[in-house]
Amino acid sequence: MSNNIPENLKYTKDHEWVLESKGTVTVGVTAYAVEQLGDIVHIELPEIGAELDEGDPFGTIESTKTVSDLYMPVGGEVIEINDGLESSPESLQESSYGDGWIVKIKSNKAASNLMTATEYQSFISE
Amino acid sequence: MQTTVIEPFYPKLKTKLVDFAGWKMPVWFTSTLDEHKFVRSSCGVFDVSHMGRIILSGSNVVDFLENLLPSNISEINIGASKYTALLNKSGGIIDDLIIYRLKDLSYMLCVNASNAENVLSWINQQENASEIQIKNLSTTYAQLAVQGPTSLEHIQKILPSFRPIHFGEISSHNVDEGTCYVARTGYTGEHGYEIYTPNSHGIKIWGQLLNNGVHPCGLGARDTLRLEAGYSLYGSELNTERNIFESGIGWISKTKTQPHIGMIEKENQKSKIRAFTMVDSGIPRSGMSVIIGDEPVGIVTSGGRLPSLEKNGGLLFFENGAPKVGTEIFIDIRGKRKLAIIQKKPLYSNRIQ
Repeated sequence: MSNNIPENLKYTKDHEWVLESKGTVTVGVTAYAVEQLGDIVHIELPEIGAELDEGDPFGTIESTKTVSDLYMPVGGEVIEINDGLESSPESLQESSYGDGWIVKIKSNKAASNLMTATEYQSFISE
Repeated sequence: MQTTVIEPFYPKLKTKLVDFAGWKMPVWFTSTLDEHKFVRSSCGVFDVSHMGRIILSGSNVVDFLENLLPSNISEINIGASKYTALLNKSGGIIDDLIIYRLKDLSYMLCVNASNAENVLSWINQQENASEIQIKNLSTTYAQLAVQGPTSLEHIQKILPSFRPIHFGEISSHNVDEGTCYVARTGYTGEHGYEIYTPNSHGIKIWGQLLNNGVHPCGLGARDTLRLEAGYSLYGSELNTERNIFESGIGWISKTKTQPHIGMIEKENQKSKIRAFTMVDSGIPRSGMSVIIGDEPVGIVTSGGRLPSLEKNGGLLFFENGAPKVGTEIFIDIRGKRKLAIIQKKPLYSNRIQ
């Protein structure tokens, strides 16, 4: 199992990880979620400049079997997308917390309802 | 939920199990894409012991089957098989199946797990069902599909008495546990075999195959492989609302002249099923609309990643006549029109067969 949950990140109930740094929020999908999905074969990313609210779907991640929506962990403007994922979605599996980052958001307020690594660990163990 | 007799012997590490037609079945053991590649390049084994297996025998069995099935049964030689379907009275498809002639007056039907009960009850409802012997092997026989270019050598390792057979043939072998049947059939488009064998022998050879380096494969790879090979899936391309001709399997009835259940006029019947690949990005999924111009003209019956083609695509059903190969169409993927193109079926073919 993916026991290696980075301590420096925060987590959502939708299995996204969040890194906040000076108003910029980097979002990815946890290794645990990626493992549950299986082989990732396609990813759809938002447009740069899209302004979205917390909880809005901003993209989809598709495995051989399923389609899952990605949700904004915090409201704001999409300022960067990892468009390399469109041609090599397997980066999500190989480096969920590194090269597999998905979007960067300029947030309009601080994210709420995020879990710490320890909390996320117990959330997925339930 | 039911489990197959092989299930306790699945590798546990990364295996993902799901409920499939009331059976606890593996979607993958490691990864669908890896398992797909193993079958295309070397050899994989699928536990398909959830399939329904029924033996019909008796002096009237040929007449019974000729009435029951839309294919010409009398032309199946001993040790041969045919892909066919079970039809309701109006010609709708109850199930698709493979019929093997095991002996002179003994035939085995291999049917879908999801339809096994319906098939048995349909057979038992027939007027002269009492004149034939019906034996259900589903719980006493395991079924393993050993598929891929190196499958022959793996079969010979576990069954030294096995001699090569042609595509569609089946041979029987005495093993300590009873009679083991090996058929050169499958659902992957590769050179491959399906082994029907007593449970205890099935468990033994499952272990031997894995020890010999054959990769265990799940339902995920089974689906991507069959989709590339252009095989229909019951519930996707085939159902009780469609006849065999519009479903693209009218050929199963080509040499049949005798009347049978669900017989319909063959004239002017055309397949409404087509294969396609995506030109734009995006993964088509079953149920999505197919659009030509601004008109919805059909639906995706099966769609997904086609790993050997490194493309996305699948199979389509057109309500009123299907377009030619090369026609540009659009798939409505969650509200976005994505360009796709009609292709020849099968999408992938390995000339070994």
